[in-house]
Amino acid sequence: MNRRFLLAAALASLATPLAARPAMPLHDAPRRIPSPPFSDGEGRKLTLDNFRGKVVLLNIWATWCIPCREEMPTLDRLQGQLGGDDFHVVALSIDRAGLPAIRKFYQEIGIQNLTIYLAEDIRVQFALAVQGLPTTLLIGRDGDELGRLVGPAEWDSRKMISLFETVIAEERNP
Amino acid sequence: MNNIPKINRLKPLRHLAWGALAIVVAASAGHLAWRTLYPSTEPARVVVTGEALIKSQFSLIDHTGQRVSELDYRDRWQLVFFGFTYCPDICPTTLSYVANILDLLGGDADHVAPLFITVDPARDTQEVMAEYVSVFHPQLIGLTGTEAEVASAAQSFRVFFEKRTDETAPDGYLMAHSGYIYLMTPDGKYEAIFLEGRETPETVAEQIQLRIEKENRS
Repeated sequence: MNRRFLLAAALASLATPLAARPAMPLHDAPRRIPSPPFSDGEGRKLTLDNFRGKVVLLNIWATWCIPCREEMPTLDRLQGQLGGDDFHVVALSIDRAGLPAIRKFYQEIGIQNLTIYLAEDIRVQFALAVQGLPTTLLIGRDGDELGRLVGPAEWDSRKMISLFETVIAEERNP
Repeated sequence: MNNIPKINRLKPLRHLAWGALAIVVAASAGHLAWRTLYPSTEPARVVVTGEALIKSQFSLIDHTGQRVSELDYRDRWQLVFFGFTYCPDICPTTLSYVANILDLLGGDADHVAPLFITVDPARDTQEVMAEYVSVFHPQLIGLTGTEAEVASAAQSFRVFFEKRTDETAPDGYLMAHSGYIYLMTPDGKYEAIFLEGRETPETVAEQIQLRIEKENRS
């Protein structure tokens, strides 16, 4: 009986759809993180400091990463819904192929709201301890890492949106 | 859902593999070698005498379609690592790590054969490997073969891998950490192991350059 239950539980865990996964896990305490240097589609030099004052969702991705490609439309819709003075999605590509590869992909999937950001792969990997893609960081208004998710997600799900809205509200009134 | 161009042909495979395929590469011999090299945290020191069990021995197809063995790289140091291109959940960054090492080596990269051996030959055909390695570095060499050939190559490096069908387990995360990179002498003997995330590409490049210089002097 007990064993059958365990087996059923094990089988159920084999097939959890993306949408049924928990929202982004948050750290117990915010973590200071260094910012890798990066640039936007126009070649402007940036760091995460340029986004101080906003809650940032930093998604590290590359065009060769299939799960990254698949979750990108959900990040685009998220930026459309929450992007503004309080919140910004930074989809940071570490493609060695550079801007043309990113532009092509953005065009192919019809990105509406996301800006192009590009960084040197190794700078990102070491600055933010990234060893698998996609890796997504939730960053508070003061630049600290609040949470991190390795692997893809449905970023515009109701669960995610309410998480981000809560963080935006909390961080507004410390 | 959204159409995923370019690597589109992999999409049907994804449906076939519902539950997803995760491959965990556990390099137990790698661990042993690592402990030997860096025993500082271990009070009980592991001492290995004699020749390492790990050796470079394989017969595989490179990404240009040529049948190759370790003998084809006799004139170079081999920088060998195992992996796969099909990552439904989390994609390892090992190829970009190795690409950075090659960048840092500059001209010395000519003395190095960077060999990326797939552990998923069913999906990683020669064509897939050719497209994939070209994204990272022109000098990278992708190797594939039959299941048996790949298993035999893995065995010679004492690399253990198995297919898992559990998409939600933390295995996906472990998989991303399996970045063991073997430096083998030009005659295919074990020389050193590097670990992605543990050593910067600068350190690895320096370690390789030191050996190339030493060899040039002798």
